[in-house]
Amino acid sequence: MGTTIRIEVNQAAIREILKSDEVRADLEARAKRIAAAAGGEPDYEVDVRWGSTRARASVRTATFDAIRDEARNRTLSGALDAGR
Amino acid sequence: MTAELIVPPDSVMAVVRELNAALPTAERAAGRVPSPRPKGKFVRVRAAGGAPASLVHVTPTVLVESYAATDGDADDLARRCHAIILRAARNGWMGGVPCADVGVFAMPADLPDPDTDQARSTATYAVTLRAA
Repeated sequence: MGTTIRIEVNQAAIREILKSDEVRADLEARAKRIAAAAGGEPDYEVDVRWGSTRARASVRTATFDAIRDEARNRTLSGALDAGR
Repeated sequence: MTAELIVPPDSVMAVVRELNAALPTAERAAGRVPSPRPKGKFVRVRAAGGAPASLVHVTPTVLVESYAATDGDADDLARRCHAIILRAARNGWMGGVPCADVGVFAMPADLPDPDTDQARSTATYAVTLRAA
């Protein structure tokens, strides 16, 4: 007969981790690597903010050239690996 | 003794085969824009990097671009492609290649192509495939 293992998830602790400075810093570093791989400033901007339940980071095209490059060559999409 | 050579599968061709097996013949998928360019619907599948997942598994990033005459038709085609790709993951095979998982980076979204008047909807996937 197998041993029963009971796992209790501390939801409050997980919420705290998702909004922690450490997670925010990690996300920001990943977003900056993606932006740099795509071509960096001024064409790509990183935004990091606190969401309602977790820290969030995003990379966006910031110039017309970058928008056109993404539409034509998918440069930003192809840079996602830099965030691994 | 020489270690075995493990060649990763062609992710674009795997997705193209999977899509073409399920889509009508008027909505073909390919790795590049057909020549002459179809005026109606078609799907372009592109590889965009990725990473190894294990000794025999790879997880390439795959872009699926659905073209049509109108935004609505492009979105409809993209959502059907989405369903086909996710079904392949549940079946365990993508175009004849063992498929362990499909992650969704981005659901279908409107992304106009500056080089054509056709509408385009794009989605991005992380497809985990096993080397043969």
